[in-house]
Amino acid sequence: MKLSLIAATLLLSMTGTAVARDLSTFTLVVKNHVYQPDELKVPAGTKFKLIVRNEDPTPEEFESTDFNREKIVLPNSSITVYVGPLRAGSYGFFGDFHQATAQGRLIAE
Amino acid sequence: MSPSFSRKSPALRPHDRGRRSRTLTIGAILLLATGVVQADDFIVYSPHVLATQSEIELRGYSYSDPRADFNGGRAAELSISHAFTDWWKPEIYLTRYEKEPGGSGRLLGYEFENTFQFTQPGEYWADFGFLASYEHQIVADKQDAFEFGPLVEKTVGRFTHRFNAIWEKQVGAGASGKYEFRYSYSGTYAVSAAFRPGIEAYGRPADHAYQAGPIVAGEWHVPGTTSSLEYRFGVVLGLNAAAPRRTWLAQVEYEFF
Repeated sequence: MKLSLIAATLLLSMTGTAVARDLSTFTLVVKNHVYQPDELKVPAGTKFKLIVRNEDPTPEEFESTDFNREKIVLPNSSITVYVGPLRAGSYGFFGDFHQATAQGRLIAE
Repeated sequence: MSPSFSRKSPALRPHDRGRRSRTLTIGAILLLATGVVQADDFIVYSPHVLATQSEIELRGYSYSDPRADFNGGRAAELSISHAFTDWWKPEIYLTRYEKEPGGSGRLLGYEFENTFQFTQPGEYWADFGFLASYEHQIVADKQDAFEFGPLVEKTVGRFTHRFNAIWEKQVGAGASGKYEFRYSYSGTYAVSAAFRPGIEAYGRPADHAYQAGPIVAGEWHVPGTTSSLEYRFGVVLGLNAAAPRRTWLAQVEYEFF
């Protein structure tokens, strides 16, 4: 139990030191259930912010298995998704509610 | 929270102490290696809350152990939830069923559980949240209880690690007055959204019970809808004599917006 308490304290204390400030910001737009752009170049090896704006009248779920994110975007709303650091490579993402059309990739380089 | 069986804690024999020591060592390695741990209503909660999402969930477990202390023990519960904001998800357990080893099945009562998300996914080194619940019993020999503790999740590529540390305190007439601690860990790898194999581990120091084993989880989007089905199945094995040899876990969930 002591070990668990120590670990929990350490984990909690880290939240105050790893502040996600001054991050590069990139924007994706969902319109007609399609991501625009569908391919986005992002920096490798550093954390960044992704603004996902949904211009459709229906909700969308921004999701990626490759970089492990899942977040709802309400109609005519925006969300912020923190991503990375990613190794150089290609990472797919999709809209869970419109998987046939809402597909895209982050190219980390 | 799900029902957990009360069981007499046996005095530790020398070889049990050795096993316990090994178990604690394994737990410590897991903790230090991953920064995540696990608990004992046989679920490892995520701190993430998806705003406006509603859920209907059925989950349960069953012991597979011929020893009288465990034989025939099983439990199940049905709950509904709705995330009113992107940081608060209340959940109501409508039905909680338990069959104690050697006993007959019965309904236990209700529970009001709250998940609070403190940080955005990926914003800090790990994602943090908090669980707080109140359990109301409708049977005479069980006490109401508060339950609370931090929820932590860390993603690294396709790996997801979760750790829960939960304290439970009984309240009302006949309550023990002590805080009972348990912890849990899960580590999964997302082969795809529908297939995430991994391991789960549960520790209940008050019972000297430690368990770990394989699980598989995943979700399917229901085409043409804004809903999905999630599942989780697994078996955790007793790491020492005080834990059931095998505990089969099952969970299905329908999520919709």
